[in-house]
Amino acid sequence: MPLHPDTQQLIKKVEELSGRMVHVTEDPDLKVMATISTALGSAPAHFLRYRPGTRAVDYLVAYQLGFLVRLFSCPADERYEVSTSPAEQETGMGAMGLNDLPPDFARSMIDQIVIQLRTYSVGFRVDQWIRDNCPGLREQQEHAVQSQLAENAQSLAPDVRKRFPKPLLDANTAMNAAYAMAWGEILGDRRPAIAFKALGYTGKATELLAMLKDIPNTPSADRTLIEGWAKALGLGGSFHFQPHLFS
Amino acid sequence: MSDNPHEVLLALEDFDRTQLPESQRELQGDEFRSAVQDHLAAEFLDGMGAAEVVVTGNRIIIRWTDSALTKSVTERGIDYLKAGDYGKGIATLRLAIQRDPPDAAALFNLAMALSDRGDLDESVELLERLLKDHPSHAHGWVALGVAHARQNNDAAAIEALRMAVRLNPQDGYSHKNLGAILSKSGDRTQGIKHLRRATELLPSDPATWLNLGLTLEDADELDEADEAYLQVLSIDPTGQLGQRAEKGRSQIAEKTFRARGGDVRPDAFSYCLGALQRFEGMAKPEIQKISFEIAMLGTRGLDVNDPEQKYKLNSIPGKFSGLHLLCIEYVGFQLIDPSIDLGFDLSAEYAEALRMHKKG
Repeated sequence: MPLHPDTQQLIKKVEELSGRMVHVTEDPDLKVMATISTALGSAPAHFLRYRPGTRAVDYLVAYQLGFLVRLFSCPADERYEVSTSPAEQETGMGAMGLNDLPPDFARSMIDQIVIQLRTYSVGFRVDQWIRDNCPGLREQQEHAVQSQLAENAQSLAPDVRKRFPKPLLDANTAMNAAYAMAWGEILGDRRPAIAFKALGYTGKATELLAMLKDIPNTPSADRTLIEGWAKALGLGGSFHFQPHLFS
Repeated sequence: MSDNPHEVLLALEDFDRTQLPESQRELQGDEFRSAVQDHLAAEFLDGMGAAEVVVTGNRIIIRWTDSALTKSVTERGIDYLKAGDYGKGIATLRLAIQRDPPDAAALFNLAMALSDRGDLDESVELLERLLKDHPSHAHGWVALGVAHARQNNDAAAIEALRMAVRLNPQDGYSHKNLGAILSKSGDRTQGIKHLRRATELLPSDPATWLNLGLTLEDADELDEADEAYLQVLSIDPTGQLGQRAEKGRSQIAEKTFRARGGDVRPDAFSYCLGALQRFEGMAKPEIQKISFEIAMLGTRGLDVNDPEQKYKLNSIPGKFSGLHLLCIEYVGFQLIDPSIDLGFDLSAEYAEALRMHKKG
């Protein structure tokens, strides 16, 4: 089944900006709904795979492409990726209260929270762009957001929260709270944010959302945005930016 | 909009106490749970949608559906009232007024609910606020009249209800309430006039007919009162209003009965004597069976002032007039349990019959 025209337009845009093809394939065995591998080095194409039958697949693919559009909109010497060294993982484990947990698990937790940091902060920009420029994807976007909100709400359950150290929980929940508050405003339904407020996360979430307003909405400022969020969440020093290896 | 259910589970110990007013932050146990529940329910209303908030043990459970968003806070408040949940309805409408103080629908419905609950001073205050901004709100004047009447402030009630009638002469409820309060305050003629008009405008409302019947009965206009009671019975034969109408009909029947026959009615005396003879030597269960059959028939009304023999029983052969059956029933209950009040006094006829019966 062909992708939505808005998504196909985004594919063309990525191809124009990066000078590489976007190769789209269906993958019934894919564990996530959609994923993209950015062309590095001499790779001829960006490989985008999605699981067929996924509801909102056009939006999910567009969302992945949105990150690439922002990346390749920057001048070549300003393209960065978020990366984590072993030493930074150690720093992150200390900051997030993971030192007493099995090292492999703790490192994987740090990797995940850093991915969330990058995905949520820049993801707001991507989502806003899709909302403003791809009206044909709006319904799918709202469906996906509702699913994400429901998933985030489940993570507030006492049985889930007791499994993780508080600093890690706080960082994760503050980002989820920001997500609920921001989408609450956009969708005119503030109810999903109330549980986060009840647990005291409004202040930190407001701080994160303020940065979205204060920091220019340009792809080259994404690095500043991620750094700002990281500092607010206690994740400073847990990752670094490395130049995007693309020639 | 879809109707997706949402449910969030939180640990009560994770609740941020700074969300509560300072006076509630140190609460413990059930008081704390109650404060958290109220706080979250209000948060959801403020977030443009109601939710079910349950705080139990050490858990907070919040449930809501998307569809609740389609209605305004005022509409949701009114829905709660319609469903009989006055607590939630009043809280929701208070919130609506907090957000939009001149909200006429919220003011009106909240005032009505408070009036129903007996919070009359606040109800009157809200209605006066409403009517200051909306002096042509006829239903507002009716509600104000009712609230004043409940305060026993008849003069203010009459003034408000007269205004309601002036604003909307076609509103039956205005006439009904004005008629009732006028009658109560002594102006029966005007009261009956408005109640008659109310029955024209609300022909299916049994309470209006009952009001008219009671007022007419007080005014000794018994024939028309009886007709009004019959209307109540045709609309609400088994409900409380129907029972009250039945009682009214019995009273009228008795008044008419006495007016026609003096202290001891010969026909009733004769029927009572016949009943005593019939029950002579009969076992109590048999007497009871006959008496209860008549009592059952009586729930649908026995016309004691019509001599026509139009009633039949299963337990006794033949046809009977209403008064004849009533006398049999009266005698039967005197023999079974004299403490039972049938609502119709035949004691004089019964005493005379008993005296004769004993003489043989």
